[in-house]
Amino acid sequence: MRQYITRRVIQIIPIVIGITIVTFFLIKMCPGNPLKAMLFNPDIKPEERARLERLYGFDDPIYVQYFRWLARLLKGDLGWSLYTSRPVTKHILERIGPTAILAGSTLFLSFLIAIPFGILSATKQYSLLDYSSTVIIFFGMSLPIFFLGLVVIYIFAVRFGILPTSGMKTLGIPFSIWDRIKHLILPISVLTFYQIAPVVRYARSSMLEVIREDYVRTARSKGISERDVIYKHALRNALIPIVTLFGLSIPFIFNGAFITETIFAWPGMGRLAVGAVFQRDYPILMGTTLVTAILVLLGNLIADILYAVVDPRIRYK
Amino acid sequence: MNFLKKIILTIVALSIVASLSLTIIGCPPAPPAEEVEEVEEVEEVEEVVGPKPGGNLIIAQWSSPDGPWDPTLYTDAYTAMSLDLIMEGLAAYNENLELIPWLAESWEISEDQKEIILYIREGIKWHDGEDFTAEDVSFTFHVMGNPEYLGVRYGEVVEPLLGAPAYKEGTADKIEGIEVIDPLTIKFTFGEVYAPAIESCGFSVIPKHIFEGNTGAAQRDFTTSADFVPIGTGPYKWVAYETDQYVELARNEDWWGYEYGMGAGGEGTGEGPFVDTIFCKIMDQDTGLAAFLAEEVDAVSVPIAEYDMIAEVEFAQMYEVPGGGFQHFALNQYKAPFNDVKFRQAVCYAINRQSIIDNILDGHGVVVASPIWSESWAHNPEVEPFPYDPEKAKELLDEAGYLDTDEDGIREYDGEPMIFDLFYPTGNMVRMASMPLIWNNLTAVGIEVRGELQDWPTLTEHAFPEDRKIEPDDYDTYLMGWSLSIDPDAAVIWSSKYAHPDGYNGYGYANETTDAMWDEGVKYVDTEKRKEIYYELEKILAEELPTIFLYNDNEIVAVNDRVKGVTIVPGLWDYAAKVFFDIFNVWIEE
Repeated sequence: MRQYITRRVIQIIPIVIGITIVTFFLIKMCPGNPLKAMLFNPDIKPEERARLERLYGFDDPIYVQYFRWLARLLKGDLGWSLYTSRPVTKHILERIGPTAILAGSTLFLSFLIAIPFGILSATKQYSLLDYSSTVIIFFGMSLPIFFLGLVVIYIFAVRFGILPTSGMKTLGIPFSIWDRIKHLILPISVLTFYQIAPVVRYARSSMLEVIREDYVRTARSKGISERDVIYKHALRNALIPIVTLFGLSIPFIFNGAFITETIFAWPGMGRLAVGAVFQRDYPILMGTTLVTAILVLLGNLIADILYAVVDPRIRYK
Repeated sequence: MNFLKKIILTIVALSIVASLSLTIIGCPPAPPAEEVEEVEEVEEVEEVVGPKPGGNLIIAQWSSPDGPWDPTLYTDAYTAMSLDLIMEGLAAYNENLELIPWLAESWEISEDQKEIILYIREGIKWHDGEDFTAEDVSFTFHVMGNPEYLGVRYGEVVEPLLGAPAYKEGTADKIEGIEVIDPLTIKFTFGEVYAPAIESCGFSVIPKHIFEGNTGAAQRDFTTSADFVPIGTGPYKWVAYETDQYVELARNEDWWGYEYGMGAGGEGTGEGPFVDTIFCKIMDQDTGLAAFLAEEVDAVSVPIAEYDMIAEVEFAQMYEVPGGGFQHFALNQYKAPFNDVKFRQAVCYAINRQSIIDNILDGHGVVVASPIWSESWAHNPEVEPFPYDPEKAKELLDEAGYLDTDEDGIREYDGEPMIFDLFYPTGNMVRMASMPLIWNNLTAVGIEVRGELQDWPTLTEHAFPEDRKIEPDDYDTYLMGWSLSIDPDAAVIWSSKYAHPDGYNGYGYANETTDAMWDEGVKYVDTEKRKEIYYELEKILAEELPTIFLYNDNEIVAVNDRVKGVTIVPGLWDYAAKVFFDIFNVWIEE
């Protein structure tokens, strides 16, 4: 097992390098460059711009720029943001905390809520519970996330004034845990709502498949209680596909919460990454891509390891 | 049975949707519960009328400041907003956009208009207690003139000074045009008479004792390091910036201006500032409006589409002033038929600009006739925009020989049908909505445009092709906007001297008469003399249409009525700078 993990981790390195090459060349081939956007001011003379372009190394061939970036990366240096002139690592580090709170709670809550719902939907197929969970889920999935976000802000912050609209703290008062929790309720609820939907569907269909298997029928015919049949024999097998989903959700929630972060003014990674694309802030963009790529690959790895945990048939060598 | 259940559930689901949407549309916001408690507290406290110190002012801003917190280095307006309360210059603008003495008490301009001597007020101190002197001013200019300087202010602020280029190239060890006469007197000498150069006197001064040893290439590392704190002489002191969350500033109780009664109008026009803490909270526009309704923030910039919703709220004070720029429809005059004045005039007659204002802007804007700002002293009140007249447009096109020979509804030139690309950038909703209207108007006179939405960097690459990597005739037309500078000089946009690749005249507009007038306009410091030149210039440009001027949308600011004494002036700043403009008289009613 340990050998397997080591091998997988080493495999990540060439894949990450491949991803960074593709990203680097793609973004550099996009029209526009950050200096132009930054210096869109008639008072700045062309010589001045040319001088700055030289200074930032934008006049070198793309592959030279890439190797310069890679060489720095090997020294642990991700470069500086072109706009804020602050190190990329600082930008990423200061967002890991807020992102982890948001993503971690969402991931935890959504699986906690979704799996029982999925199983109940499956075991009580075509019941009122099954139908209502299906309706709510499809209703939720078909609402754009920004709309749902604004609706909850309107209801809970504007109309009833019981929760804050956005941000991480109330300005002008000292930090308190209760204040932080109040600020977390809306964004976590919205994200969780969206995250639950696919998990419930997966859990339901996978459970449905499993309870029709021969070994479940065998268990039943042996006279084991329905409860034990479901929770001891069927559940563990039904969880296998959900484990994949868990692994793959990690990078998505870390980086894909852009809209939620924007609406709730939450200083997370998604906002950093998307902002960098629009501004063509190459160093930040490469930094966030690197982090995301590593997260995706680690997510896959975690999924594979969890397989071995839930499925005794799988043994890695 | 199952079928019935499905129907019932569908009905339930639909009624959930319906009730949600009713909640959104139907109900006015209830006052938050907290407010009731506050009212009770007020009754216990003695009633105070008029300005009094204290309180928080929270302003919503849509984007994070990029920093660095250094006036010589930052490039974005969001940094400027907070920094302008911390740092000050020798001169400042009043509400009529005239330069008035600020850190300087007065100044003298020499006969030949090339020298200016500024007398600094006594007793001004930096936030850390050090004395402010003329050495700091001289130092600030030398920082920006340094050959290794990483920022972009050199051309704008320092270059007009005598000997600045020599210092920049390293052939002189100081800028000849800056002379510190004594600690409170400084003399600037300019290389030639260039009217806007006097604006340099208003540039925010940075403290020499903090920056010394951290100039040139080291300056950026210094000002972006985690423990750097911007120190100024201004009415507010730096407290904190939490990334993507908020900027916090605190009142400088030892501010020199209290003694002089400094307000936005100069000496004796203000008593404050009174507000203790200012927060600039970074949030999405929609969330910002919700936060205003929930009374979490005190001031927001209101998009025109949301005007009615905000205006009907009881506690909202609405301010509306003309915006600081204009939108335009650029035609590439490097190629035919755009280089034909008659064609451009026809396009201008064909576009119903008033309908953009009436229908998209809901009346919150004006049609623009020329590139000179309507509120500027240089604006000629006699210049009127062309009316909407499609018949006249057709007549002009017929006259110029652009006829629809094959009768397919589209005119031809040189045997080619008049079908043009129209690039327009993402972002500005009003501008995006104006595209179909322009398309419709032009189709009606036999010109077809094909709209193509592009992101900002892509469009600027087309419109302002640097180094001629892309030929200037790469595009046909595009929609864009200009923000104006306070000085009317805009040669770099409209003079053919600044055609590609040396400037921003990407339209290829060329006219020797106006070129000469732009040059002439900056040769006098006297406003009356300049006025004559710009009046005439504006007339020609409004007739010749170097681009099709469209509209200037109003800027609308909503302020919670617990904030008193706000003055919003029509200015060229963004909304937060406007709320802060007369911060010296703003106070909070508890």
